[in-house]
Amino acid sequence: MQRWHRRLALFYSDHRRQLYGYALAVVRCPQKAEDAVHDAFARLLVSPRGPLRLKAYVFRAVRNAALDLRSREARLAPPLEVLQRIHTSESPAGGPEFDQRDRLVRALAQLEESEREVVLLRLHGQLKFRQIAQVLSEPVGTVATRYRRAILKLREQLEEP
Amino acid sequence: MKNPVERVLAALPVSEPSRQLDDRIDRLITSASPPADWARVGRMRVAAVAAVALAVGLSGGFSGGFAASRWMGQPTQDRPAALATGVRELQVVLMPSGVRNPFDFSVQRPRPIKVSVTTNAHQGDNL
Repeated sequence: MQRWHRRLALFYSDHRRQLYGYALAVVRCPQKAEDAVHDAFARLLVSPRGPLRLKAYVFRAVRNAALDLRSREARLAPPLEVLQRIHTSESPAGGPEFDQRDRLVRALAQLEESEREVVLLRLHGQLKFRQIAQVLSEPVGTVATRYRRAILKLREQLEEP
Repeated sequence: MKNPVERVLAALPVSEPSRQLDDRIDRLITSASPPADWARVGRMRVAAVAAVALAVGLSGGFSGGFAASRWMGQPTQDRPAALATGVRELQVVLMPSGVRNPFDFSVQRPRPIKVSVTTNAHQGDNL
Protein backbone atom coordinates (compact mmCIF):
# COMPACT_ATOMS: atom_id res chain seq x y z
CA MET A 1 0.00 0.00 0.00
CA GLN A 2 1.35 3.40 -0.92
CA ARG A 3 2.18 5.82 1.88
CA TRP A 4 -0.51 8.30 0.80
CA HIS A 5 -3.17 5.59 0.77
CA ARG A 6 -2.03 4.37 4.18
CA ARG A 7 -2.32 7.89 5.58
CA LEU A 8 -5.85 8.22 4.21
CA ALA A 9 -6.88 4.86 5.65
CA LEU A 10 -5.53 5.85 9.05
CA PHE A 11 -7.23 9.24 8.89
CA TYR A 12 -10.55 7.63 8.04
CA SER A 13 -10.36 5.17 10.93
CA ASP A 14 -9.55 8.03 13.34
CA HIS A 15 -12.17 10.50 12.05
CA ARG A 16 -14.91 8.39 10.48
CA ARG A 17 -17.55 9.58 12.90
CA GLN A 18 -16.75 13.28 12.52
CA LEU A 19 -16.52 13.03 8.73
CA TYR A 20 -19.84 11.23 8.49
CA GLY A 21 -21.54 13.61 10.94
CA TYR A 22 -20.31 16.64 9.02
CA ALA A 23 -21.36 15.19 5.68
CA LEU A 24 -24.77 14.41 7.16
CA ALA A 25 -25.14 17.98 8.37
CA VAL A 26 -24.36 19.29 4.89
CA VAL A 27 -26.28 16.87 2.70
CA ARG A 28 -29.03 16.07 5.27
CA CYS A 29 -29.57 12.48 4.21
CA PRO A 30 -27.82 9.47 5.83
CA GLN A 31 -27.35 7.55 2.59
CA LYS A 32 -26.12 10.62 0.73
CA ALA A 33 -23.78 11.43 3.60
CA GLU A 34 -22.13 8.03 3.24
CA ASP A 35 -21.96 8.55 -0.51
CA ALA A 36 -20.31 11.93 0.07
CA VAL A 37 -17.61 10.45 2.30
CA HIS A 38 -17.07 7.65 -0.21
CA ASP A 39 -16.87 10.07 -3.16
CA ALA A 40 -14.46 12.31 -1.28
CA PHE A 41 -12.10 9.43 -0.56
CA ALA A 42 -12.37 8.19 -4.13
CA ARG A 43 -11.21 11.63 -5.30
CA LEU A 44 -8.49 11.87 -2.67
CA LEU A 45 -7.08 8.47 -3.57
CA VAL A 46 -6.69 9.50 -7.20
CA SER A 47 -4.66 12.57 -6.27
CA PRO A 48 -0.91 11.92 -6.19
CA ARG A 49 -0.46 12.87 -2.52
CA GLY A 50 -1.86 15.23 0.05
CA PRO A 51 -0.46 17.92 2.29
CA LEU A 52 1.41 17.22 5.49
CA ARG A 53 -1.63 18.13 7.61
CA LEU A 54 -4.59 16.22 6.35
CA LYS A 55 -7.47 17.38 8.50
CA ALA A 56 -8.63 20.51 6.67
CA TYR A 57 -7.82 18.88 3.32
CA VAL A 58 -10.03 15.84 3.91
CA PHE A 59 -12.88 17.79 5.51
CA ARG A 60 -12.84 20.12 2.54
CA ALA A 61 -13.01 17.16 0.14
CA VAL A 62 -15.97 15.74 2.08
CA ARG A 63 -17.69 19.13 2.03
CA ASN A 64 -17.24 19.48 -1.74
CA ALA A 65 -18.58 15.98 -2.34
CA ALA A 66 -21.52 16.62 -0.01
CA LEU A 67 -22.35 19.90 -1.73
CA ASP A 68 -22.24 18.16 -5.12
CA LEU A 69 -24.75 15.57 -3.93
CA ARG A 70 -26.87 18.16 -2.18
CA SER A 71 -27.21 20.22 -5.35
CA ARG A 72 -29.01 17.26 -6.95
CA GLU A 73 -31.51 16.98 -4.13
CA ALA A 74 -34.91 18.48 -4.79
CA ARG A 75 -35.87 18.69 -1.14
CA LEU A 76 -33.66 18.94 1.93
CA ALA A 77 -34.65 17.51 5.29
CA PRO A 78 -35.23 20.09 8.03
CA PRO A 79 -32.12 20.83 10.13
CA LEU A 80 -33.74 19.66 13.37
CA GLU A 81 -34.47 16.23 11.95
CA VAL A 82 -30.89 15.90 10.71
CA LEU A 83 -29.34 17.10 13.96
CA GLN A 84 -31.47 14.67 15.97
CA ARG A 85 -30.14 11.91 13.78
CA ILE A 86 -26.53 13.08 14.14
CA HIS A 87 -26.71 13.42 17.91
CA THR A 88 -28.46 10.22 18.80
CA SER A 89 -27.67 8.88 22.25
CA GLU A 90 -28.42 5.86 24.35
CA SER A 91 -29.94 7.89 27.17
CA PRO A 92 -33.67 7.26 27.60
CA ALA A 93 -36.15 9.86 26.38
CA GLY A 94 -37.49 12.04 29.15
CA GLY A 95 -34.37 11.86 31.38
CA PRO A 96 -32.35 14.97 32.35
CA GLU A 97 -29.54 14.10 29.95
CA PHE A 98 -31.98 13.61 27.13
CA ASP A 99 -33.70 16.92 27.88
CA GLN A 100 -30.44 18.82 27.85
CA ARG A 101 -29.39 17.21 24.61
CA ASP A 102 -32.76 17.90 23.08
CA ARG A 103 -32.62 21.57 24.02
CA LEU A 104 -29.14 21.92 22.57
CA VAL A 105 -30.08 20.22 19.36
CA ARG A 106 -33.13 22.45 18.97
CA ALA A 107 -30.99 25.52 19.62
CA LEU A 108 -28.45 24.34 17.04
CA ALA A 109 -31.23 23.84 14.52
CA GLN A 110 -32.28 27.48 14.90
CA LEU A 111 -28.83 28.79 13.96
CA GLU A 112 -28.11 29.98 10.46
CA GLU A 113 -26.62 27.23 8.37
CA SER A 114 -23.25 28.94 8.03
CA GLU A 115 -23.06 29.36 11.81
CA ARG A 116 -24.08 25.78 12.44
CA GLU A 117 -21.45 24.53 10.03
CA VAL A 118 -18.69 26.38 11.86
CA VAL A 119 -19.92 25.08 15.22
CA LEU A 120 -20.03 21.49 13.97
CA LEU A 121 -16.56 21.71 12.45
CA ARG A 122 -15.14 23.29 15.58
CA LEU A 123 -16.76 21.15 18.24
CA HIS A 124 -17.20 17.81 16.54
CA GLY A 125 -14.46 17.89 13.94
CA GLN A 126 -12.06 19.46 16.48
CA LEU A 127 -10.81 21.80 13.76
CA LYS A 128 -9.05 25.06 14.55
CA PHE A 129 -10.33 28.32 13.11
CA ARG A 130 -7.47 28.34 10.60
CA GLN A 131 -8.48 24.85 9.42
CA ILE A 132 -12.17 25.75 9.26
CA ALA A 133 -11.22 28.76 7.15
CA GLN A 134 -9.42 26.41 4.76
CA VAL A 135 -12.41 24.09 4.58
CA LEU A 136 -14.86 26.90 3.90
CA SER A 137 -12.48 29.07 1.81
CA GLU A 138 -13.20 32.05 4.02
CA PRO A 139 -11.04 34.38 6.09
CA VAL A 140 -10.10 33.20 9.57
CA GLY A 141 -11.58 36.34 11.12
CA THR A 142 -14.95 35.73 9.51
CA VAL A 143 -14.99 32.16 10.77
CA ALA A 144 -14.07 33.17 14.33
CA THR A 145 -16.70 35.93 14.40
CA ARG A 146 -19.36 33.59 13.10
CA TYR A 147 -18.48 31.00 15.70
CA ARG A 148 -18.65 33.49 18.61
CA ARG A 149 -21.97 34.79 17.37
CA ALA A 150 -23.32 31.24 17.16
CA ILE A 151 -22.17 30.40 20.69
CA LEU A 152 -23.75 33.59 21.98
CA LYS A 153 -27.05 32.69 20.32
CA LEU A 154 -26.93 29.19 21.76
CA ARG A 155 -26.24 30.49 25.24
CA GLU A 156 -29.14 32.91 25.04
CA GLN A 157 -31.49 30.21 23.88
CA LEU A 158 -30.37 27.79 26.55
CA GLU A 159 -30.75 30.37 29.32
CA GLU A 160 -34.36 30.99 28.37
CA PRO A 161 -36.72 29.33 30.85
CA MET B 1 -12.95 25.19 26.14
CA LYS B 2 -13.93 27.77 28.73
CA ASN B 3 -17.49 28.33 27.68
CA PRO B 4 -20.00 25.95 29.35
CA VAL B 5 -22.09 25.90 26.17
CA GLU B 6 -19.06 24.72 24.22
CA ARG B 7 -18.37 22.01 26.78
CA VAL B 8 -21.91 20.69 26.59
CA LEU B 9 -21.92 20.88 22.81
CA ALA B 10 -18.64 19.03 22.55
CA ALA B 11 -20.05 16.29 24.76
CA LEU B 12 -22.98 15.68 22.42
CA PRO B 13 -22.81 12.16 21.04
CA VAL B 14 -22.27 11.84 17.31
CA SER B 15 -23.82 8.95 15.45
CA GLU B 16 -21.64 6.30 13.86
CA PRO B 17 -21.54 5.66 10.14
CA SER B 18 -22.68 2.22 9.08
CA ARG B 19 -20.30 -0.71 8.65
CA GLN B 20 -21.18 -0.56 4.97
CA LEU B 21 -19.40 2.78 4.67
CA ASP B 22 -16.34 1.34 6.42
CA ASP B 23 -16.35 -1.57 3.99
CA ARG B 24 -16.76 0.74 1.01
CA ILE B 25 -13.83 2.91 2.08
CA ASP B 26 -11.75 -0.19 2.80
CA ARG B 27 -12.47 -1.62 -0.64
CA LEU B 28 -11.72 1.75 -2.22
CA ILE B 29 -8.31 2.00 -0.58
CA THR B 30 -7.47 -1.65 -1.24
CA SER B 31 -8.36 -1.41 -4.91
CA ALA B 32 -6.42 1.85 -5.28
CA SER B 33 -3.23 0.23 -4.01
CA PRO B 34 -3.01 -3.43 -5.05
CA PRO B 35 -0.30 -5.50 -3.33
CA ALA B 36 2.98 -5.43 -5.22
CA ASP B 37 3.72 -8.59 -7.23
CA TRP B 38 7.37 -8.85 -6.25
CA ALA B 39 7.92 -12.05 -8.23
CA ARG B 40 6.72 -10.26 -11.36
CA VAL B 41 8.85 -7.21 -10.62
CA GLY B 42 11.86 -9.50 -10.10
CA ARG B 43 11.26 -11.29 -13.40
CA MET B 44 10.94 -7.97 -15.20
CA ARG B 45 14.19 -6.73 -13.69
CA VAL B 46 16.04 -9.90 -14.68
CA ALA B 47 14.64 -9.66 -18.21
CA ALA B 48 15.68 -6.01 -18.46
CA VAL B 49 19.21 -6.73 -17.25
CA ALA B 50 19.50 -9.68 -19.64
CA ALA B 51 18.28 -7.55 -22.55
CA VAL B 52 20.79 -4.80 -21.80
CA ALA B 53 23.61 -7.31 -21.41
CA LEU B 54 22.67 -8.98 -24.69
CA ALA B 55 22.49 -5.65 -26.51
CA VAL B 56 25.86 -4.58 -25.13
CA GLY B 57 27.40 -7.93 -26.01
CA LEU B 58 25.98 -7.96 -29.51
CA SER B 59 26.99 -4.40 -30.27
CA GLY B 60 30.44 -5.05 -28.88
CA GLY B 61 30.78 -8.22 -30.88
CA PHE B 62 29.62 -6.66 -34.12
CA SER B 63 31.64 -3.51 -33.76
CA GLY B 64 34.65 -5.54 -32.69
CA GLY B 65 34.28 -7.85 -35.64
CA PHE B 66 33.81 -5.05 -38.14
CA ALA B 67 36.62 -3.04 -36.63
CA ALA B 68 38.97 -6.00 -36.75
CA SER B 69 38.14 -6.59 -40.40
CA ARG B 70 38.57 -2.89 -41.18
CA TRP B 71 41.83 -2.60 -39.30
CA MET B 72 43.31 -5.34 -41.36
CA GLY B 73 41.92 -4.03 -44.62
CA GLN B 74 40.04 -7.23 -45.25
CA PRO B 75 36.42 -7.66 -46.33
CA THR B 76 34.07 -8.94 -43.64
CA GLN B 77 33.52 -12.32 -45.25
CA ASP B 78 37.28 -12.97 -45.14
CA ARG B 79 37.47 -12.14 -41.43
CA PRO B 80 38.43 -15.64 -40.22
CA ALA B 81 41.43 -15.58 -42.51
CA ALA B 82 42.28 -12.04 -41.53
CA LEU B 83 42.03 -12.89 -37.83
CA ALA B 84 44.45 -15.68 -38.41
CA THR B 85 47.10 -13.19 -39.51
CA GLY B 86 46.72 -11.05 -36.37
CA VAL B 87 46.17 -7.32 -35.95
CA ARG B 88 49.01 -5.30 -37.41
CA GLU B 89 47.91 -1.72 -37.18
CA LEU B 90 45.27 0.24 -35.35
CA GLN B 91 44.15 3.70 -36.39
CA VAL B 92 42.68 5.83 -33.64
CA VAL B 93 40.89 9.13 -34.23
CA LEU B 94 40.89 11.50 -31.28
CA MET B 95 38.09 14.03 -31.10
CA PRO B 96 38.61 17.02 -28.82
CA SER B 97 35.99 17.02 -26.07
CA GLY B 98 36.21 20.76 -25.46
CA VAL B 99 37.86 23.81 -26.92
CA ARG B 100 39.84 25.84 -24.44
CA ASN B 101 40.92 28.55 -26.87
CA PRO B 102 38.01 29.66 -29.07
CA PHE B 103 40.42 31.10 -31.68
CA ASP B 104 42.36 27.91 -32.05
CA PHE B 105 40.43 26.39 -34.95
CA SER B 106 42.90 23.61 -35.43
CA VAL B 107 41.72 21.72 -32.34
CA GLN B 108 38.18 21.53 -33.67
CA ARG B 109 39.19 19.12 -36.41
CA PRO B 110 39.63 15.42 -35.76
CA ARG B 111 43.27 14.57 -35.59
CA PRO B 112 44.05 11.04 -36.76
CA ILE B 113 47.00 9.37 -35.15
CA LYS B 114 48.39 6.00 -35.82
CA VAL B 115 49.08 3.47 -33.13
CA SER B 116 51.01 0.31 -33.76
CA VAL B 117 49.78 -2.72 -31.97
CA THR B 118 51.68 -5.94 -31.68
CA THR B 119 49.75 -8.97 -30.61
CA ASN B 120 50.57 -12.52 -29.81
CA ALA B 121 47.45 -13.67 -31.61
CA HIS B 122 47.60 -17.02 -33.28
CA GLN B 123 45.24 -18.79 -35.60
CA GLY B 124 42.04 -19.72 -33.82
CA ASP B 125 42.49 -17.24 -30.96
CA ASN B 126 39.37 -15.41 -29.92
CA LEU B 127 40.04 -11.70 -30.20
